[in-house]
Amino acid sequence: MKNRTIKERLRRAVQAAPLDVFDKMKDMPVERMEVHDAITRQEPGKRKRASRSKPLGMSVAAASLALAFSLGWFLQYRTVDTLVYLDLNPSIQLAANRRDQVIGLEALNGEGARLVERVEYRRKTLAQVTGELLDILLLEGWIDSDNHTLLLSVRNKDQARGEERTKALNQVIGGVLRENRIDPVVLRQTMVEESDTVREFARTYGVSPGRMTFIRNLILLDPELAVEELAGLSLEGLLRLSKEQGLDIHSIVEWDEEEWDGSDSDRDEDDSDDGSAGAPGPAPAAPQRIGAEAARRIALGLADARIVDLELEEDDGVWYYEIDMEGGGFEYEIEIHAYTGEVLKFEKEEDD
Amino acid sequence: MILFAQVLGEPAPPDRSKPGQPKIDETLFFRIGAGDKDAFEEFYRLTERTLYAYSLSLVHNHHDALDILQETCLKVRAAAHLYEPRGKPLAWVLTIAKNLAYSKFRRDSRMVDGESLRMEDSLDFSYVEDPEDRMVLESALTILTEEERAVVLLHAVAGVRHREVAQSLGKPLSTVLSKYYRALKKLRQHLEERGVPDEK
Repeated sequence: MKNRTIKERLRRAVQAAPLDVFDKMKDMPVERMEVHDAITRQEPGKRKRASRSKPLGMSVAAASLALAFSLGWFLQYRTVDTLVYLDLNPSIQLAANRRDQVIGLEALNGEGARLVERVEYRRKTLAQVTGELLDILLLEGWIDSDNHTLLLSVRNKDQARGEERTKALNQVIGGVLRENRIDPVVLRQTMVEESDTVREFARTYGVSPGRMTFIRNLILLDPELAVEELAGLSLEGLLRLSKEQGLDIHSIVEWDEEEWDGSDSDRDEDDSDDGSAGAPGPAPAAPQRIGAEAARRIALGLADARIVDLELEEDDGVWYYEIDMEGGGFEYEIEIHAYTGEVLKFEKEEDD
Repeated sequence: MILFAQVLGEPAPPDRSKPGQPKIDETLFFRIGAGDKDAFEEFYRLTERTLYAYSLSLVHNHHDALDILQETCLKVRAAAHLYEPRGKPLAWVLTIAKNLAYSKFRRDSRMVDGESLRMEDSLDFSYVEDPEDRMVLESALTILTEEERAVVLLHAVAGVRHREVAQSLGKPLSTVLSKYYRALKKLRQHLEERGVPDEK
């Protein structure tokens, strides 16, 4: 049985469920809540952990205040709260405390070492140090209009805090580079932690744990890939490969694709993909997958509908993209050969 | 419109709402908070299947899942004005559903032994006409763990991207990916052993 069949059956079964609650509920009176309760509370930030217990007596209070103070100081200033891995080909790690002050800056490979030496990070914020690093990267020619892909990985135990920082740093990077007329491709991932395995592999291959996390996720998407193969590639190389292998990279990192599509030299290749895909031609010498984007485009050419799912699947040695679409009152199930672009299956069913 | 642009080979406008995934605009909550009924309806239409699928993964049966769906929407109406935008509207809604389901379990378990109650709950999916479709759903709800169910139902049924699933459930992406594939494999083996045919 194929994964697709399972998904289809599940989807059909759940779609069949009668959900007739809206009319009943739309005019139902509800009481506006004054404050969030335990049910609606938005994930409590871990900021307010400091104990608020009432002091027992003056001396105890004073003692605990002093303790809390020094502990608080330690937590605020010395403890790593956010770790940032910045990967181009140099790999750099920044550590920041809860106040976003940088308390550590390290190179994770030889290329990074020279850069790190040149930045004085003390008493500066994450955003400031990131900006300075970018200036040096630009100056040293690591980033230019041809090499403009970066991987930004932010690690924070509190996911919301991590995401805020990812967003802020992405803006810093975009700002600095656009000032220099470079439209960057910033791949972004926010992590809560990394496993020992990832760290170990990262060390073995001399890349940052952020980049190793990205690689591991690529392998989870396509078990045919091997770490040895991926670890040696540049970020552009990884992107190109995952495009060729047709992996839906959006499902593992955030990025603004129009930047890549709009400014990258791969654009031409892509178009030819599209052409050969429309009318399946002879297989290229070294077989390459047409890629998720090409498959997406073929599918969009077949039906006036939007894509709701796209996955790379394998069945009896045949690799194909299975694409589900919906639109105009119909559901479509499409399978496109991953290497030839041939449409293997096209089914149209009335949506119910 | 997007479609035309792509077919004609023109640069498509950025499509933020990637495949399938219900994209809730956070400003919807402000409008709901201000008592805008259209906004509430829009919210409901956008999320009903996702929310139902997720509720089902929590409570295993249609009847309770409907309850959770309804209660969650009412909670959203009651608390929308308190919502703080954090870029993850779906996460908030799913958390409400989860909290409601857990508090329901606690209530139920005070009355009867919760676990046995849940196990005995007939998985009443009689509205699913195709017996094999029904069997796949019932299997998913019985043999998968809670997390596996959530990941499978959110992605396979509601079309939520893995990354978004991870974000909404507060789990690392790698966990979500491996759980998803492991769950499908488990289901596949289970169904093959029972001779459920591949095609309709």
